[in-house]
Amino acid sequence: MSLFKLFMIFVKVSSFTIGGGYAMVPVIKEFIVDKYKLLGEDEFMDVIVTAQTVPGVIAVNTAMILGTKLAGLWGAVLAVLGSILPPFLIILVIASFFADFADLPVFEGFFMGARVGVTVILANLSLQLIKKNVRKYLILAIIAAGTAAIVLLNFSSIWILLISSVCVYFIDRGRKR
Amino acid sequence: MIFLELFWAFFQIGFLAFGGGYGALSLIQDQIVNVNKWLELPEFLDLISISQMTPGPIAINSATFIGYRIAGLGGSIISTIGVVLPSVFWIFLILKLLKILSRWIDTAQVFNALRVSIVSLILAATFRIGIESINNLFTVVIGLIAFYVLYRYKPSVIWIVLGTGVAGIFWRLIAG
Repeated sequence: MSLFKLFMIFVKVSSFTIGGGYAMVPVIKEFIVDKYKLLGEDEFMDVIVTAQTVPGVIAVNTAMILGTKLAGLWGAVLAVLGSILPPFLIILVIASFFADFADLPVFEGFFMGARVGVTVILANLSLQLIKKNVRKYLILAIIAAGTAAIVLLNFSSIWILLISSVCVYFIDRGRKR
Repeated sequence: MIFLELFWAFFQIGFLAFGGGYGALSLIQDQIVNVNKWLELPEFLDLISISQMTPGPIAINSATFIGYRIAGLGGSIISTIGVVLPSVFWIFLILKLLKILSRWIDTAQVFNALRVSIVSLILAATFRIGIESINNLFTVVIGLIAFYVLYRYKPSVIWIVLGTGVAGIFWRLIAG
């Protein structure tokens, strides 16, 4: 993996991540897993999971781990640079030229529509992951409960990650493999 | 020294922010509005809503924006570095820790479980963005079309984001 290519992947990913950290996951998966086949899907999801288990900007954490995995120290540096450069430049332009940027109808419309698109690609990813990883109704119920706890009860996602992982771990262990 | 203060404020945000942008927002608000009193709440909320509307992680966007507002180009660079730097520490730590743990426990099993439960987090993000963005006939129709196209023809997800965005522009210009 050439360093420049790695850098460009992260430039593209962060340019199309609208609406926070998770919107990045389907975009980055498309490049790393589907298009360039640099990692398998499970291996890729392990990186995403690892990036969640510590504090920090999730996109940066993810870029750092993926960069390290794919091209060592310089890979990490360039992946992180690639993921912060586009947002940094876009914000600089907005901050210096358009004070009331958010009120422009074109921008407002694009943002309104694009977030529907982000919802769709996230929903699609969720379905793919459920199809691939969930073999039991009990586990599906745990996922549903975790989702409800975050959305409806405002539980912190890190707790849900820990609690439901412990549940899933023991359910899977109980099964003879 | 404003640069040092900015750096320290955003370093703390990056160091403590668990669970991504939404978790970071309250930390950012605390540092910028309550502790350092750099911005009044309404102005802060304006900056945050722009940070959520532009591409990129919310924490990076708001660090750049707030840094620029408070201390110009230098401020935006310092704040962005400040919020990114703690990741170096945390990632180094977790990768080392995983290596050590793998000597005693079967980390593959642990990751199998984590990979299942992270679906909750991604689904939660889906619902959160969905509830905010899919709220009228137009967005429902666009969402269904986009989903069908993605499912049936499997284009790059980038096209889905761009396509729905352009549809949004047309809707906004026609419907006003």
